[in-house]
Amino acid sequence: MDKKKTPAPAVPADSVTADGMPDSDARADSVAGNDSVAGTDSVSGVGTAADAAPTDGAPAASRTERRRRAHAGQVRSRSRIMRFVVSPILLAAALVCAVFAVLTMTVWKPAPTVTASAAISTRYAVTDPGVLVLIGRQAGAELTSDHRVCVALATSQDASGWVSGRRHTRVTGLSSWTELSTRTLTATSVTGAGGPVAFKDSDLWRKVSCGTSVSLRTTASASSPLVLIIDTNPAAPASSTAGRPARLSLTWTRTHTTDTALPLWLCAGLLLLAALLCFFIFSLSDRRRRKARERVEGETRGDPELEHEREQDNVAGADAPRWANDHLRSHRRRDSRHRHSRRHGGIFSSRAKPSAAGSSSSDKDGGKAHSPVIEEPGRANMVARLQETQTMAPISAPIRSDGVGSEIDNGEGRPPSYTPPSNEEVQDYLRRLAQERLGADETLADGGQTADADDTHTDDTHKTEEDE
Amino acid sequence: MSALTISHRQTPGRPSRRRAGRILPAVLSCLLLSGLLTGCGSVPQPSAQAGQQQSQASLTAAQARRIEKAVHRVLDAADGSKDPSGLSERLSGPELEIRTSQVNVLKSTNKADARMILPTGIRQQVLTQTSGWPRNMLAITSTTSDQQSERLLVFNQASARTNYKLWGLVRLFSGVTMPSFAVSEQGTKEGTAADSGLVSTPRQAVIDYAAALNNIQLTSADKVNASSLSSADKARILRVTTDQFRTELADLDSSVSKGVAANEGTQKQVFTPDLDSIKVFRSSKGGDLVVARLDSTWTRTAGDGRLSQPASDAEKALFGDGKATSTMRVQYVNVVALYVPPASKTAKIQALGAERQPVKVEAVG
Repeated sequence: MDKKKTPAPAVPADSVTADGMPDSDARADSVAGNDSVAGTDSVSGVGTAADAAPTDGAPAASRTERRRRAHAGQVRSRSRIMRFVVSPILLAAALVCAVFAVLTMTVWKPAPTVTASAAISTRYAVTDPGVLVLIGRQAGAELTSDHRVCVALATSQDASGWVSGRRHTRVTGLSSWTELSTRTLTATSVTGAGGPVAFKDSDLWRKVSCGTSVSLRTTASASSPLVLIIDTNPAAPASSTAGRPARLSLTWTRTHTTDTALPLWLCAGLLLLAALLCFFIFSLSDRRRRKARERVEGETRGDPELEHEREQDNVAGADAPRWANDHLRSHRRRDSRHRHSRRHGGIFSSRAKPSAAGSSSSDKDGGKAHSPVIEEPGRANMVARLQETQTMAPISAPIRSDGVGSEIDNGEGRPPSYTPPSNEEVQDYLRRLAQERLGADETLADGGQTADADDTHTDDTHKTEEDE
Repeated sequence: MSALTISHRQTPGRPSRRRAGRILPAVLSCLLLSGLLTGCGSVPQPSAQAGQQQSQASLTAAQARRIEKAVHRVLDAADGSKDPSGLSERLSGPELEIRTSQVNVLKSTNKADARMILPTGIRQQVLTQTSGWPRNMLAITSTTSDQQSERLLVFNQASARTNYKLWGLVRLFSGVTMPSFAVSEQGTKEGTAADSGLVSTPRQAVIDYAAALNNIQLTSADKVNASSLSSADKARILRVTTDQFRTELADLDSSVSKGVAANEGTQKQVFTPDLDSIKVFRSSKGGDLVVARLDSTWTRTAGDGRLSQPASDAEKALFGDGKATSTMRVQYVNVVALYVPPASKTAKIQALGAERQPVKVEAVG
């Protein structure tokens, strides 16, 4: 029996249920209608249905068309939003981050040195431990005065021993980025014998420098105990505590700077990447799917085997939900994977059997591994399918070069092609189907005999009842 | 019709909500990023752990070298000018007296004592961890150009406002093995006169050695045991090994005794330790290096009608134009370096070096 390809019947308007889904009953009827068309008696039946179809199918077609246009419009709107709203916003944010990063590296870059100063009025001054390594490991001290002063580098214990019991100034840190914080300690009991050793001659100092303007540089670790000790009146006797005014400046050289620009650069890069993704990728999702599907269908159009599989998988009808055909695809994949013989018989396999002119295809199909058609349910576009099925030829049979559906055995076990029904037959069928869905009784009387064995039985029964 | 399409139709407001959901995080991110840039933060403050000195020498090697050079300058100046008046700038303690005597002898005799040579090369520096005062440091010189033995130098800083001075100097005995000390950067710990866990405390070790010197002829265990000393005194002497200093002193005592005895005279030398100025350095192997001063008085009495004269060129120089009598009293300053090992059954106190110099010669009587 030639394989009769049943066209996708139009879904009548009133077959759509309240939730917007096509009426399952109407769909079942359309399946039955397909079945009836597939039989040898389908020619006249189709012709009869086709006569009545245009009158009731036009409103359904226009609604479908409107829905398709609305969906396409949504797709275009979303694409425009991604491209011309979201992407520019992300791009602007990336630009802002980049600008901030550049400013951080140039105008806002921390100065390499920090200089703070304070006036010293006591004879002795000592920096607290850690002040010399407050900012980086390198520090320089400069002591300026209009008279001779001395500055030395020593351990905190040695400096404290030298000034023990005497009034002196402690430099404790920074009160601001330009001013040193100081505090004055009053005299207590003098401990240790005061020898005749001059400040600059003491064995306690690691480094010492004396003059009217003296400087001293040091590089120390974070835990270094070194401090600065200053004598603003070294010429006075050791027992004297009278100081002379001097100004101490400490300059630190930053040895480690926090890279605050790097996070900004990273943020700018991520935002730029997001903008590009929105512009090129996220805005093309539907179109890409459609093109991909068209590309796949175009690639497989010339492949009779894949076309045959698609036809077999589409037994439930083009407007049926995709899950209706899933069981066929899973069966096909299992068969091809395990190389078992094809399913013979079954209630659906007969619908896809080739025409009588060709030999039984089931034997030839059996045992042969066919490439499964990979379909993605998530990308199903029912509207497009409806459009295609309505505008395409009723039966999407592989087009052979000879134009005639003849049994061709190309040695690879492919099923032979079949002759598609004529356009008139299809139109008749559609008319009949529409009438059946709408429940019009006059169509049956005008439509005459049609269709397949099952529906024939039903129609005959209906006629018989009418006659009675 | 696809479920996707139907779902879009059922929720027409969803695209705008999605758009808002994408834009809002971006705006918030920009605001947060800008917040990072505002403000430079407060000024840094010294940490509480800053300046907490780890185990570290109170002097650097460079500082120690400067001290040694300063001492050499003073010594050279005094030797060159034959004037000991400037020695107090960098000398103190027994070494000041010894060096002063040596310079006076040099001035009197115009002959330099070979023992005055101080090598400039330093074989080992032993810097201490003492952060307070007084504090000390050790240095071991190389041998002299004429192959004299190495010198052990002890420097002392009495207070923060005084400099390090050479307090003691001993000539190490030939073939002696010095105890090991911690590396200079880490610094060596100074001990006390009462350190325990040793053969004896540093204080007792000095007393024991003085007892051995006071019984100078008891240079062997047999002689000690055969002596009439008390058992305690015998135990003290037996805790000390026989060394070059004791041997030389024993020989000197023996020869002087023969000469004095021939003139029906007497002689006696009494050693008295200075227990208040003991310097103790802890070895890394557990023992102590003890440097102590022992003052000794050598009294020589000639027989009736005879005069007691100086026994050496140094004594002569120091006595100068003094008028001799029948009794001569010579005061010596002795400095000894002892190693007191950790307590054990066989360990003994060992003298590593010594120095001896007459500082005063007077006729008595």
